[in-house]
Amino acid sequence: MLRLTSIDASYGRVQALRRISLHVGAGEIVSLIGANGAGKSTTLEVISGLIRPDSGRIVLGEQDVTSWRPGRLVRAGIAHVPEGRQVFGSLSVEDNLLLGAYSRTRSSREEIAADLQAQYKRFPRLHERRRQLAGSLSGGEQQMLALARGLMSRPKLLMLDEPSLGLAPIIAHQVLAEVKRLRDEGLTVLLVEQNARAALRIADRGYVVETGRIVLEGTAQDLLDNPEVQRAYLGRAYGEIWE
Amino acid sequence: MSVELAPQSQPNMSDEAALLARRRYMQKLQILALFSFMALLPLVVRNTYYIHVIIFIGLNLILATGLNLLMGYAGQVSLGHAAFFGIGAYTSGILTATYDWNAWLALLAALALTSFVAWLVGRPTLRLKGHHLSMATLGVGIIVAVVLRQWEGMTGGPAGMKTPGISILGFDLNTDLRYYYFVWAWVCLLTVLFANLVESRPGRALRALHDSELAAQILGIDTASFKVRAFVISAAYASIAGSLYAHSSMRFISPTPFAFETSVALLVMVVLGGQGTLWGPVVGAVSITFIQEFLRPWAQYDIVVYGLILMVLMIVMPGGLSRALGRLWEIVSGRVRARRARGRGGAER
Ligand SMILES: Nc1ncnc2c1ncn2[C@@H]1O[C@H](COP(=O)(O)OP(=O)(O)OP(=O)(O)O)[C@@H](O)[C@H]1O
Ligand SMILES: [Mg+2]
Repeated sequence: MLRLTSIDASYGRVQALRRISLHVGAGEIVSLIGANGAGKSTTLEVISGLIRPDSGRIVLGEQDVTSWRPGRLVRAGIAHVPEGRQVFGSLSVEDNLLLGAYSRTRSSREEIAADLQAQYKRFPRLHERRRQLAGSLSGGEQQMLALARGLMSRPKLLMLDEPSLGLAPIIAHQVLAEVKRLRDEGLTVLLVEQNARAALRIADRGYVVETGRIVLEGTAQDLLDNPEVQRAYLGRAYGEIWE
Repeated sequence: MSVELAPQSQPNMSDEAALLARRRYMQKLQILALFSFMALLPLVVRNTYYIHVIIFIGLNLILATGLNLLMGYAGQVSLGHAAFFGIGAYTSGILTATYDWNAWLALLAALALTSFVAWLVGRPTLRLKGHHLSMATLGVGIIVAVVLRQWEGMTGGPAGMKTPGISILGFDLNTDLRYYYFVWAWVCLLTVLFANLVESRPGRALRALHDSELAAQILGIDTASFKVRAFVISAAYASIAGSLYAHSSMRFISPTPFAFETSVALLVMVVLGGQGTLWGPVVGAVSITFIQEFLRPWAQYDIVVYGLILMVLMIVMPGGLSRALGRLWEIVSGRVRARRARGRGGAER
């Protein structure tokens, strides 16, 4: 469904990605794990068109989408739920959701209204708070909102950047359970997590990113069993929380 | 997520639509109330001086509303908004006085020129991250102030220039009272336009990019172009205020009102009233115009007073007066308590 071939990307003179190649098959959950500053967020930003790669190719389905603008990529079926949630704090929950459908210029009002109701059904908490300012929601609720806002664009591929960041373990667990449910409903997911164990538990495959390069790839189980991965990313401290 | 949370009530679309319609209706009603009040005011206020002051409040309100769109919605700051006010006024003044243009045509030409200048300044600076627009507009302010003073052949220099009046379909707006109604009709029109704009889809996109530019971009909002458009509209508002100023019953313009002090005064109006609110510019324009009038004998200290107001505001009520008053009203009417109770009930785990 999505294939990156030898992507280089940089911020000014700082090169952030070096020959990143990866692919995500339809219906898969693929997880990207790695330490702080490894280049995980940058990879997602390149895919969603926020950053133009210096070289390399991005293919979505059959189409070469390299250097497409974000709006066009949203219409092509890519949704990106950014790191730190980034909800629109001074707007109501409902306005946040409606903005999720911003690029759907071809959908009618009725279709969008129906999708809004579908999100409310999925996240009843958001319905209760639909008129509240998004900035006044709790961290967990904001993550739900960011996720629902992403879904309002009717994506085929959902990219999540550290959805469990800063959440209590039980809430984080529920978020990831929801991600799994979305996959079971047919969505394809590219999941960035620092919480490697939790991510690999729900993922089909994974990539390990280190200083802008992919250093390891494999099925989620292989990575979980890999002694290198265990040492670097599955430390006991994390493990205990998620046991 | 949905595991632990049972739905409390079923979503109901007609209920949503009704609420939104009600909010818009209330807003229209408030605007209508304000302008009815302004229409009746001259029945009570007969003193020419006060009529004059209220005309100025109207012009400041147009300026502040435009700047509010830029600051409160697009999250950008113009430090030279008086320059756009000045370009509007002098373009209208010069075209009508020197070249005998029709005042309405001159107003449109001024509008086009000001918008073009704003676009020239905004397009390159708003594509970059950061506060380049503030610096660039500061520069525009300085340049325009110098040109108005130095280009004596065209502008009359520091001594200023005489300007003709304006008429509608042969009806001369040559008295203070007529001009009062003319200016406030413009204020009404531009306020309604503004209210519709910020409630529209582009308005929502603007507020979104103010909160998180990254998220707005991810959703496909062309944030740079939205910022440029907001800036051009805010400059256009200033230009209209300038043209109206040029044809006022004073029949005279000079460079003084278009200098840096006015840019600061406008900034203070927006911040004092409350950025990003419909009523902020009203509160700001009324208070600052009165302060200006009050300080007229000590005009050189204006800027000190603005500085003080800004400082105190940032410390005690960064949301501005209109929000503070709104909150006070909520407390008085007991709404806050009710809302808190509801909020707490909903948050229980
Ligand atoms: N806006 C920026 N300007 C300059 N350098 C940046 C910028 N954003 C990221 N970088 C650099 O690019 C590299 C990759 O950053 P990125 O945010 O992709 O890492 P990450 O894997 O998402 O890390 P984290 O787990 O902390 O979110 C880092 O070295 C970082 O310092
Ligand atoms: Mg990151």
